[in-house]
Amino acid sequence: MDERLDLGIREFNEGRYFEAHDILEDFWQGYREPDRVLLQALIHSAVGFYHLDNGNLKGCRSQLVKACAKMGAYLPEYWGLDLAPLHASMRKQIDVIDVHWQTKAKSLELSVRPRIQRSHRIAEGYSSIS
Amino acid sequence: MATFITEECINCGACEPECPNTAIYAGGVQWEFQGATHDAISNDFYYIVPEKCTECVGHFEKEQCAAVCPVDCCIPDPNRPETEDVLYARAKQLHPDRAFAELSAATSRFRK
Ligand code: SF4
Ligand code: SF4
Repeated sequence: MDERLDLGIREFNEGRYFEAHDILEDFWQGYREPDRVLLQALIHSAVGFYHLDNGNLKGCRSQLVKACAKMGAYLPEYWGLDLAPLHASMRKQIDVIDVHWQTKAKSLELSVRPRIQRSHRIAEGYSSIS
Repeated sequence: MATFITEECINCGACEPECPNTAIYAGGVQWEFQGATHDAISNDFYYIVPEKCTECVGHFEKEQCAAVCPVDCCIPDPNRPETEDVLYARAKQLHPDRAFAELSAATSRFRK
């Protein structure tokens, strides 16, 4: 698997969402396999949290909804990545935004941002995520 | 419908060079049309000038901005429904020196 997946995930896990999106986008533009949908889901996720950091709640919510929808077919893990916790965090973040809009609750964020971890069962031929 | 960029845009700039009508501008950048300059439609995100967008009719089989956008935020503007005829006439008006062949599936998303 392309090293840009590792690099993008590292940036994501460090909270550098613009950089994460940028690296993953570069990979996605030239990757033509059907599972490029999952790459795009990771891009949506990074962009969603980038928008959240910048107070763009509408943009954040729309991106996280797209990320969840596209990631659905690859749960709970794919490419040796444990995707279920990320998916659950994004769903929760969407709920937090909805509650904020409905009740004007102050809380806008999850207490802990999701990290993309390597799953226990390493995908064949792919084990470089650390 | 002219194509429209939503607030999901991440300002990556991938769409801008793909537009056959130079209808896409970065946020805050003034747009030009027929020798006149106009204020930016958005200061925060890339934007599409409806008067210059043909939904790629006359040029490509589908909207090129949407095809390259990594965040799927180039969408048909529901407030601006337009027919293929209108879009094709616009393409000809935007490119008066170009000879357009009859529309086909390769040059209009309406012919899929
Ligand atoms: S749909 Fe085509 S013509 Fe319209 S802005 Fe996008 S690339 Fe340009
Ligand atoms: S490709 Fe999409 S995200 Fe990138 S600038 Fe264009 S509309 Fe924005």
